Amino acid sequence: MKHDIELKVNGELYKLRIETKRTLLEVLREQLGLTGTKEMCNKGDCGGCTVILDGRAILACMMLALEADGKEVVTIEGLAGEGYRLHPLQKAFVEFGAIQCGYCTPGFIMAAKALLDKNPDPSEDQIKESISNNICRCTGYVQIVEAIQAAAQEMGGAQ
Amino acid sequence: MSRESLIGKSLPRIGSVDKALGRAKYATDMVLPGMLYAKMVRSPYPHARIVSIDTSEAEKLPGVKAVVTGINDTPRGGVFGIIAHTKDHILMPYEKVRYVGEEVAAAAAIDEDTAEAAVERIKVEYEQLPYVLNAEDAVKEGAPLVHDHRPGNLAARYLVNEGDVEDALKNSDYVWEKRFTCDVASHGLPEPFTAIASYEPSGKFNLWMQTQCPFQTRQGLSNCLKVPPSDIRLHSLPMGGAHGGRSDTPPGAFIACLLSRKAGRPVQAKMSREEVEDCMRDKAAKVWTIKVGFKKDGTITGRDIRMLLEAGAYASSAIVELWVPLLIDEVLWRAPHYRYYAELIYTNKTISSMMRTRSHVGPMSMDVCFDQMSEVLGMDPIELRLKNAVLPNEVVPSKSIVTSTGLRESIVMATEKAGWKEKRGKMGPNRGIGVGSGNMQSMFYMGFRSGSTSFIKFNDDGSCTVFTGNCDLGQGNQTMFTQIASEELGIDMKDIKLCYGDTELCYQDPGNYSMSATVISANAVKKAAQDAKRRLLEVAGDILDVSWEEVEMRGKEFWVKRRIGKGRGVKIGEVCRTAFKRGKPIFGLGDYRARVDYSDFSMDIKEPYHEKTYGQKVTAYSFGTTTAEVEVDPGTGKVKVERIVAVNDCGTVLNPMLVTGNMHGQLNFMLGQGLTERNVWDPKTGKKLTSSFRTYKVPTANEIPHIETYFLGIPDPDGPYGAKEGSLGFGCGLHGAIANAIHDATGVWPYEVPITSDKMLKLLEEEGKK
Repeated sequence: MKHDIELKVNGELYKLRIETKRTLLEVLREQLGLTGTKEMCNKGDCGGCTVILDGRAILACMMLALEADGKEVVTIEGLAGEGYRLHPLQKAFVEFGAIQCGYCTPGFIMAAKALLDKNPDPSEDQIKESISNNICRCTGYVQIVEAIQAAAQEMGGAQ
Repeated sequence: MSRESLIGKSLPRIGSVDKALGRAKYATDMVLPGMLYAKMVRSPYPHARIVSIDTSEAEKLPGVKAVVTGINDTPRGGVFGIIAHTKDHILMPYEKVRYVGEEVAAAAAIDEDTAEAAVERIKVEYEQLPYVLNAEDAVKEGAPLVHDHRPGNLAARYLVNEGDVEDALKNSDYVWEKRFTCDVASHGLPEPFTAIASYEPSGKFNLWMQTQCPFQTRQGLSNCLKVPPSDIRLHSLPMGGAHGGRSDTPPGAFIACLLSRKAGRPVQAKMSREEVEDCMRDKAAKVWTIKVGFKKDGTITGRDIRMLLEAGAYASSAIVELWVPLLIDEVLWRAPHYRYYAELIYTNKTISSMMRTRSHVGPMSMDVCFDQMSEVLGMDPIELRLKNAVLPNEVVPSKSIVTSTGLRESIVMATEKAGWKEKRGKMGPNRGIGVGSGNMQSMFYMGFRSGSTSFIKFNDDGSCTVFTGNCDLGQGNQTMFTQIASEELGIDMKDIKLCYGDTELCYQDPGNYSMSATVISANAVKKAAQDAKRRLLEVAGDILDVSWEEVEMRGKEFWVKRRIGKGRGVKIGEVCRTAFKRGKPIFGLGDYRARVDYSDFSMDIKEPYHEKTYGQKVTAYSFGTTTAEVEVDPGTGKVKVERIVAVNDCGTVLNPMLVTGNMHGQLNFMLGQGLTERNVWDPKTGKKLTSSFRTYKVPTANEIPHIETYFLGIPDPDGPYGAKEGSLGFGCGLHGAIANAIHDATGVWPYEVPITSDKMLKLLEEEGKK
């Protein structure tokens, strides 16, 4: 069965016809070509497909696109400013060496953004907690935590 | 002023901006025009004969464009194996299947749903056979044979027997003997396996897939497809994790090629998380038995090691794990009399391969040995280690020379930084500290693939492109190659472009196989840059009317050395354009061959790794020591590692920030495999039960302890600027450190890895009964 939905993604409104069974992840990647959101385990175990839906970090593989009807989604592609100006989190991830193979990176950055949007000055434990659903096999998480701390500081400084 | 050196500078990883933006394109993101989607028919049985396959119903389904089966489509005689002796893997078999999940047929269709529906209509008739799920059962008399022509399920064996170890142990004051085991571990790679094959009617296959060694993967495909390697082109892509698990030639790529040739369209073969875990690669389980003889003064007299290694269904690159534990053990601790005998055993399980954690159970056994023997001998355990540590330029039992080692220095530094002396035995109930050392090879012998060739071409604007057959798994190889080219050429990194890992454009390279990127591939890039620089200076000298030796580069200009800033400077672009006008464009060619013996495996020996095992095997060895502080919960048995101090002897540190990050990654892998990660098979069905991140427990940010990292900075004579492998070796002793810390905390000794909560509880219970 097909459904017509409206989805706001990175500030742009899309009118889409989707099958009932399609997940938000499939629609983002395959229908909208937003492949920055990664497919990793496809069953909610790894955080690789984390996006922000109405201000909350969610797993795009665990939500039917139909459930996102009328909602607002921010993906990794929606973070940078004009001319690929990096968001402080993206900048810090690059500068602190927090990106190795980079496949899990978008999920981590989105989880961290959801945290910083709510809590601009998180403790180290709060940072770790916010990314504890995300699996990284390369970095050992240390430089990821450092990058989020640095970004929090930079974003706080800008306010 | 001449330019500041880039060696030792913390530079961010090239490619990481694209990755941070979500713009980097991985194999899973790629779509080609007209691309079809493949699904596999997989064996539900661990061991069975394929009686027949009926694909007629699948072929009738609208949208299905090609169906292949092992019986109909696998070229006969096309077999994968990384050395001649272990060519045992028909990538889509036609006679029998050897593990649950093995591919027997596949369909390509216009979308994934149709492909799925097609494979459901393929009927396979099997004749089930008895199966065997672990190495110790597989070597028993009468065990089912995984490969009919391999008696005893013996895939391969390896022996080094130096001196008379039995006599040495007999005449020792003490003999220490123990048995250690480790379970099968998973790489847990983030990006699902994906291969996109596109066949051109001219006979050429183009492939976009994840591989950490493109030339080896291409050779494997060539052998199995029975087409020349030059008819296969592997394109380079960023990839989501490798860690040893993308070393082999995967069936999925082979099947995508067959389907694409049949359908005349590009075909994507992508696996689910479960398929990756069941059907790609694992790390081999080991049973490690060790005897060590000691004199009263603590000197080791001899060491006798036996290892049973579980290959799974095919030998694959698990064969490498047959001799790597020797390469690690023999260069850590001296042993005048030495025997190492290892057997690789087939079982009806997921195929094993290499993994970055390597033979952790080997170094662990010796660190446990030192701590236990220190009590018997009444010696300080650190003194005992220092007394037996191999020194620089020592010849080890298999006749390799260790040209650089900072093992002793790393032990001293790690224990000092950690406060080991002050803390050991004094950390309070259920808390303890331990120490463990490890090492790794920078390039072991790989036949003619033990070398790399790099090429640099200069463009008319004075920029250049470096070509290397190596690739980047995320560890930072692109940065390393560009940094080194920049250092040698004197050109800014942003003016140096890199073309890597493309089998059509680049020369042969070992790839990220045997940690060869730093010592082999980067040395080739360095030499290519030196060659190009000489040509630049020669042309600049001609323009300035002096010999090349009198020319110096400053910024983007060439000057006569005596008159820098005076008279005329020649811009690099002008030098390049002048060279073009002369019909001799600027280029550089560099080649680096590993310093190893027996680089030719074409010799007519049936079992090369068994009969011919002496000689230089490794160009450079990295070393290091870690300490671990743990807290054991006596109620749950949970071991929590709270602090790790890691000292890395990786030679000159090229890029501290990147190496530090790679070190964190290695400690993360070691922690997971040390404490929680294990694969379990259902004995009733032969099916793996741990195919998801929910059941296979890798560490998250919450499990990462406080980590301190240090470098020794002792240069290696062969590595570029003195650098050697820096991401793995230092951390391979962490399981020994954890085991010794657990003993310090609780009084019990763990001998089985991973040291899971249930195993700890059992050990504590047994200790309580004493």
